[in-house]
Amino acid sequence: MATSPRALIAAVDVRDPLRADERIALLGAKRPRVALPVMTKARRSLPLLEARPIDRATRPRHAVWEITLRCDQACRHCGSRAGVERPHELTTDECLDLVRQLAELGVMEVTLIGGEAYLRPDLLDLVRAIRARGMHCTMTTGGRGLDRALARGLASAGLGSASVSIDGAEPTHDRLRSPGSHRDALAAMTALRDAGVRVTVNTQINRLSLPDLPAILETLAAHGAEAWQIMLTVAMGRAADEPDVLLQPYDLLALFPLLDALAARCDELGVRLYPGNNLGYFGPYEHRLRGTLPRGHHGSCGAGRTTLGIESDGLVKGCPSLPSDAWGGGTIRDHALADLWERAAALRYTRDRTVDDLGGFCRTCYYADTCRAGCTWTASVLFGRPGDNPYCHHRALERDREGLRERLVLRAPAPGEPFDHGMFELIVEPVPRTGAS
Amino acid sequence: MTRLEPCPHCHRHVKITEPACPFCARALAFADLAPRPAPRVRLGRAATFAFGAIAAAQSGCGTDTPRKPDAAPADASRDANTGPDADGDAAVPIYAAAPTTPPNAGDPSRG
Repeated sequence: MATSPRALIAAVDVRDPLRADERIALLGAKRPRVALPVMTKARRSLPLLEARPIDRATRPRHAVWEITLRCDQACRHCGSRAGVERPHELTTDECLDLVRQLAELGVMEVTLIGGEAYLRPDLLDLVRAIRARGMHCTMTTGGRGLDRALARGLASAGLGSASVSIDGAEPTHDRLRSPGSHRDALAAMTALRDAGVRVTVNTQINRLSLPDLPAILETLAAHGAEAWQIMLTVAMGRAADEPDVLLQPYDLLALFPLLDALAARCDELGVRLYPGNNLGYFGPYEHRLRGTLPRGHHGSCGAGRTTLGIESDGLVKGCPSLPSDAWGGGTIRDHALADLWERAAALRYTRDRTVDDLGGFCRTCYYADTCRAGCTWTASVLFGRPGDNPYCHHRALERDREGLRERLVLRAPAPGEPFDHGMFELIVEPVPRTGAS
Repeated sequence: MTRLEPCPHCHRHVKITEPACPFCARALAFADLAPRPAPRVRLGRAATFAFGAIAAAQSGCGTDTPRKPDAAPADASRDANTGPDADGDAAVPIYAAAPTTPPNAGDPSRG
């Protein structure tokens, strides 16, 4: 007799990476930093290179656009330390012109994010403009202030779907975001659904949320979510201030069998499971999690190849998550979007990356030529440069086979600016004999 | 770049040129493997992620246990002049919304 997905989940030893006392302490820990960051202006007038054939042939299909950094929450794992708006955010006219340029560049889908996108008064105008240009429009939201009237407005404007962030069962979610935010996120899902907007959920996986994943799935399915994006919390911004919340690379050994069981439960519930780009890579469940991609497996980082990120002051990056200073190619106030896409050095990184650009384990990995260290962002904010990504299931398995594990230790804290990061050291050590962490 | 397929025994992806799985050491025989179908038009995120399941369903074969497919075969909302987009790169950047099938998916005349 076939085993039910729920039984599969129950059979997986959902090992809490935290001891009971550690969990209590971490749930109750005070914010390590309460001041909002001092915002700086985007770097201007960056030089551009000559476009090559590969740059003209490469076109983004998906743009993720932070339309404001203003936010009604100050989530403790927020990479951009969102809260206050940036100085000199784009005007409505500049935004509408950018919509035109996105369409002309060949973008097929625009995801509006923040901060909190709905705090921008012209949100509905932007949604309508994106749709009028023939692009699909989606939105990511914490849902704190997304009421029924706004949901109806979004539906009327043509929003294709909204992804609501659910980062745990209520205690975990509220600890990571703000008190009452779990209740409000579920209410937002209901409001969106009732208004006719398709609803999805995104969840960050970390040491607090990992044991909650089965409960999150049941909750999101009960609230009508069609899809569930899961990704690892990355050590950027406020998340870098609390390294004990982050998964250790060896935690992936416990996570992936659970994801396999959750994938089966997703099928049963009619929820599409989307592993995010930093949920790496190539273990025995790759076929299960990414088998429907054209190649049947993870490829490499799409930043600057299939994906485009835009900050609310017009800075263009290959991916919305990448740190602004190191990865910003210039602003649309200085250059046309197509020129930035084709000619900005910072956007060309993954077009040109080869195995020779990799380091550490990733350089000699069996999958190096395909994976190329996976998510550029994840490794960049750990070590200050990309190319060696310890958040990889294959890598954790190979280390484990050798009786080793990799552990990250924060050596230099993040300074407290938007999209900032600390510096971590990677410790390779023998696997402890008993469940010590 | 050598094509990768899951080892039928241990499910780890292996290069199809391998005579034996480097992970479980069992013998492999990928010689007669049919080429993977490639998208003929640019695909949106949802369609990219569902491509394998749909291709398998349309061909009546395939080794995947199809995950829930999108409602339409492909988001061909851009014409083929933009060129094939057969890369299998992860279609879900972080901080983006999980994709759903666009309303005009599968209708090449729109978008």
